[in-house]
Amino acid sequence: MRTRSKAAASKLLPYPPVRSTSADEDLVAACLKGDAAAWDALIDRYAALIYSIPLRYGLAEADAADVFQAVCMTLLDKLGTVREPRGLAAWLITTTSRQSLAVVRQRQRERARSEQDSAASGAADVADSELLPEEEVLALERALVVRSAIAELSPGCRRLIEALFSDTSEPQSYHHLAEQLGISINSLGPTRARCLTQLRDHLVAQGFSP
Amino acid sequence: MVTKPDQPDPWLSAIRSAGTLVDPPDWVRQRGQHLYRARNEPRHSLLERATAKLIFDSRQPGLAPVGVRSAGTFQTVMAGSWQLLYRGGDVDIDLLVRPDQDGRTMTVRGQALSLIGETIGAGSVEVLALDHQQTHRPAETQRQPMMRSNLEPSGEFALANLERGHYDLLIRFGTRQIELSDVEL
Repeated sequence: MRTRSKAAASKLLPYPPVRSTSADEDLVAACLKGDAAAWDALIDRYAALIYSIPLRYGLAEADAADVFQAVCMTLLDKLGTVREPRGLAAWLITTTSRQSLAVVRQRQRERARSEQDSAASGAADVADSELLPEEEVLALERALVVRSAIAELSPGCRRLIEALFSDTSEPQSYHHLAEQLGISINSLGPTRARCLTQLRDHLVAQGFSP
Repeated sequence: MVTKPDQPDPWLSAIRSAGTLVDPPDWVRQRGQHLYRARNEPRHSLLERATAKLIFDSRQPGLAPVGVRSAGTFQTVMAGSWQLLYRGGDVDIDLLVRPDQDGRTMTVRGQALSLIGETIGAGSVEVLALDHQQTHRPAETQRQPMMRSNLEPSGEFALANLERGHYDLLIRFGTRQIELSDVEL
C-alpha cells in the first residue's frame, strides 16, 4: 500500500502553469460571492495535493479521480463553514485521507468477497489502513508550499527549476537545456543561481525553512 | 553555501519534494471545477433532455476528446474491457464494457454520477439499436428499445448480452433524460 504507480510517477511535473497570488481566504470569500474563477483558482491550487493522497493510499487512478471529485464536492458544500481558510491545506489533507481510506476499505471488502481464500490477506490489508502519519501530512504540506513558490517564479525560472530538479524528467545536457531555454550555456549557471535565490526568497517569505 | 558531498543541500531536497505531488489529468481537474458552475446554474422543472458527449474512451488514449487532454487514466481497467465516459449536462455516465466469453456479446456496467452531488435516483435505461445502413434515423418515438434495464438509486445499471454494434442509450431519471448517441460496442 501507499506506493505510487509508475504511471502516476510519470505525471509528477510540470508544476501548475498559473500564478497563484490570492490568499485562500480571498478565494473562499470570492467563491461565496459567486465568483466561478475563484473556484477554478482554488481547485488549480490544490488539485495536485488532493489527487496525490489517494495515490499514496495505493488506489488506482480511476479511484483517485473519484476521490478528487468527492473532495471537491465536500469543499463546495462546506465553503460557507470553512472558519479558518488559512488552514485549508490541512483540512483538505484530512478530508481527502478519510475519503481515500473509505475507498480503500470498500475495495478490500469487494476483494474479500470475490476471493474466497483471501481472508488472511484481507485482514492484513485492513490493519495497514489508517490515516496518513503526521510526518507524511507535513511532507505534503511542505511539497505544496514549494510547488506554490515555484508557480510564482517567472516562466523561464520555472522551466529551469523543473528541468533541473525533476527526478522523473529525462536527464538533459546543459547544452540542450540552454538551447531549450533560449539562453547561452555560459549564462546557465548564473541563471540557475538567480532562480534558486528567487525561489528561496519566496519560500522564506512564506515562513518555509528546509 | 558549502555542503558535504554525502549531505544533500536541504534547500535542493526541499525543492525536489515538490515533485512528490501528482497532477491529476486535465479532465479530473476540469470536472471538479465544473461543479461550481453546475451547482449555481438555474434548474428547470420541466423535462430536461441532454445529449451526452463522449469525453473519454480508454481505447483511444491518443485522442483528445472534448475537455480531455491527458487521457489514459482508465488504463488500469481489466484487460479486454474498456471504459467510456460521457457527459450530459451536469451528469457523467461512466460505462465499463466487458466482452463476454462467447466473444460475440458484451456486458456493460454503467453508473450515472451527478457532478453537483445530487442523488440520481431510480430510473431506467433503454438501448436502441442503430442501423447505419439507414439514411435517416427514425424518430425516437418510432424506435422500440431492444433492451430495458433499471437505473438503481445509486445511478448504477447493467446491460447484458449486447452484441457488437452501435447503439443509442437513453437514461431517464427524475425529470431528466440523457441520450448517449452512437455508442460503439
